[in-house]
Amino acid sequence: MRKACHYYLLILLLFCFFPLKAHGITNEECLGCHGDKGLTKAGPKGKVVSLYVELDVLKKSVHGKFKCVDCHLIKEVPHDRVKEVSCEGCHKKAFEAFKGSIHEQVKKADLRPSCKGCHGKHDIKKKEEFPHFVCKNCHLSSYEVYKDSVHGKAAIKEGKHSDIATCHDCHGGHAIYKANDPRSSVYHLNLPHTCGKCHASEELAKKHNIPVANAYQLYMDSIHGRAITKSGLLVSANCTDCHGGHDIRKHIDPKSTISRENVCKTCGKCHAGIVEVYRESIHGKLLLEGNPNAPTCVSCHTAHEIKRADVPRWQLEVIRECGTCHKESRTTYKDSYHGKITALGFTRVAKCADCHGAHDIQRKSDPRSRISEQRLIETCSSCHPGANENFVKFICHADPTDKDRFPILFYTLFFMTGLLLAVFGFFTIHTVFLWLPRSWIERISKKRKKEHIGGDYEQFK
Amino acid sequence: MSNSSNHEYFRFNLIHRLLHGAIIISFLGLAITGMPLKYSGSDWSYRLVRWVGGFEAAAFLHRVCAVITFGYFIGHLIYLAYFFAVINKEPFGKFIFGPNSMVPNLKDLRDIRDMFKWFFGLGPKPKFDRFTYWEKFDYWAVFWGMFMIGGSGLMLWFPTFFSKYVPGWLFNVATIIHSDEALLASGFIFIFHYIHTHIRGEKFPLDYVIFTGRLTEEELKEERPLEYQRLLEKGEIEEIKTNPTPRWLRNFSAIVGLSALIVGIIIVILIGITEYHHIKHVLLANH
Repeated sequence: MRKACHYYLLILLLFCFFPLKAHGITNEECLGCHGDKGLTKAGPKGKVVSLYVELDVLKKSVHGKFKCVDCHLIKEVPHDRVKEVSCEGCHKKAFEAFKGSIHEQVKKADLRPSCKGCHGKHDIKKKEEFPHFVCKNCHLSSYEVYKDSVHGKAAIKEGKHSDIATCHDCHGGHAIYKANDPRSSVYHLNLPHTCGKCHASEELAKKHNIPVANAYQLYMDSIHGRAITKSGLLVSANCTDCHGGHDIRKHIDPKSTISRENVCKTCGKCHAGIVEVYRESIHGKLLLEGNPNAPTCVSCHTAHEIKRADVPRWQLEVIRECGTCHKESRTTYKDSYHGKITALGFTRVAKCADCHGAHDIQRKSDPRSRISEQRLIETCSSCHPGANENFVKFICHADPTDKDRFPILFYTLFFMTGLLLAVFGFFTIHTVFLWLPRSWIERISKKRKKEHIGGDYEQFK
Repeated sequence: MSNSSNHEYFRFNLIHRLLHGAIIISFLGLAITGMPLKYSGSDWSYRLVRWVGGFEAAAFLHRVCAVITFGYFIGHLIYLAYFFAVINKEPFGKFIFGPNSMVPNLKDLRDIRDMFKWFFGLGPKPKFDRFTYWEKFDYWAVFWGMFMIGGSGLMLWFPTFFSKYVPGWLFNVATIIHSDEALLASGFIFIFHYIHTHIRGEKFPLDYVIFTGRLTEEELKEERPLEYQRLLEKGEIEEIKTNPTPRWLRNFSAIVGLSALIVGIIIVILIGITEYHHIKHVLLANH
């Protein structure tokens, strides 16, 4: 009976030890078989799959200290067919994120990326050394576009450790969703924040010579940005609507969506009617002729900080904007009543566009122009009802110092200045230089005399 | 002036003083609401216009003050008509070239010469009658200003009306005249008129006469000896004799007068600084 009891205990112990014994399988034991380069098995569709494992690859990977059996759950050596490795046990968070992502939902099982599909098997690298363009294995066409973009070129040039945006910087890692899924980092309303991870940083801009350091901040305050953040307006332009997604290029690159050649077309994707009018204008025509000074949409509206056209601040800023090319007109405008009121910060008076038009600007000689002889009375009348032919002879951009062009104004100014200098000159000498000091000398000496007499009187007393 | 004789003499009647009060109010109002436009690029202009209540408010107040200006001008003309028709007993021609007239005469030229002599200590201070040459200049300057600045201002106020009769470029001329004449007028008043009447040694800090209407006997004798003599001889001095300035009137005059003085000086300092920068800028740009 006692012996039976011993056997029983031994069996129990064996049961207990059995799994422990399996965990105790060393890597060397595994390599006993898997170190043989000739070890293969039959795969699907008659393929031959190698079962050879190079231990060095594992040793160099982030999992270098792991044993084979930590991932490959076998119970004994030799073993039968093993279950596929599951990373979930350790990488719970990543696994959770991956769940429900677009990749997990790929229907065809052999196309569905698993952990190892992206991260590799034994050669799993640190996050920083994650193979750069692993995505291209499936998304080749996107990669082909990306590699010629400003991001792609720089990323390829600078290598793995750079901070240049690659696929996962924009699309995310495990939690990748379709672009029209509100959870996606490239969803229309989320995208500006995603770009802003880099393009709000002055430091990065300096490092990479990005001309606009605070594009994100400027955009967020713009009419487009506010429509996105405040109203969730899907039709409002976000970064990629203008710059493109995978094919972002520098604005000096003619192929760029925001190059001088293309930017109006890009704006026209939404503002089709305006661009149509603009193309017919003198500015639009000059641009088409290749004039390097012709203003495009962004010359006046700016790129990132686009405001509503009825916002006073913008209406005043655009005057300066016109003045960057039309310098003389701006100077003469500033001397006019209209210009002085706007200089004080009020917008009720005529600004450039109120007389010249905005997108439809034409030469004065063009009858379509608002300031053409045919239309001038109509234009002035919009603010000055009752303006007639005499009224429009007012010179809006007058320069009284220009004797040849404005002789009457020149001589008026000449006379007034002469009068001013004569009067001020005479009275400065008469009053300030002579009378004032003389009168004060008199006053002080009189006061002293009085005191003196007073003193004598006191003594006399 | 502490010699308190118990009577004073009237120099200005109530109408004179009220009209001058209207000038003070409207002129300062016009300068405060107009100068920011002339110097629209400067920082103080922006603040001043905001303080007044925006450019619409400034424009409105400017026109209100313009109406007051036309008002006192017309008021003065009516007073003149009344003066010659009712008050003045002298023949018109004799009055015009007499001592009570604002019309300049040869004595004024002599006075200017003698003043310059006095400035350099080469002679005594000339003896003045009722109106000195600088007072006559002030008086006619308002007439000149009225036509120049008032006329051009009116044109710019009602451009569509005036353009029925005159070509539009005249508004450009009007703008130049209005702006430069404004500088001339405010520069003249806030510097030279202020020194002539208030800041010079004899009167500093304020000549009360335009507010109280009264001169002390000492003042009348010292500043206008010829007038005093004349009135004494004709026996008219008793007609203008009056009681001393009531205390309330003197205090009121001090408050109004000094406030106006200070406001004007602030404006002219702002103008001066802005013009200085402007001229410096122009000169630097030319070199």
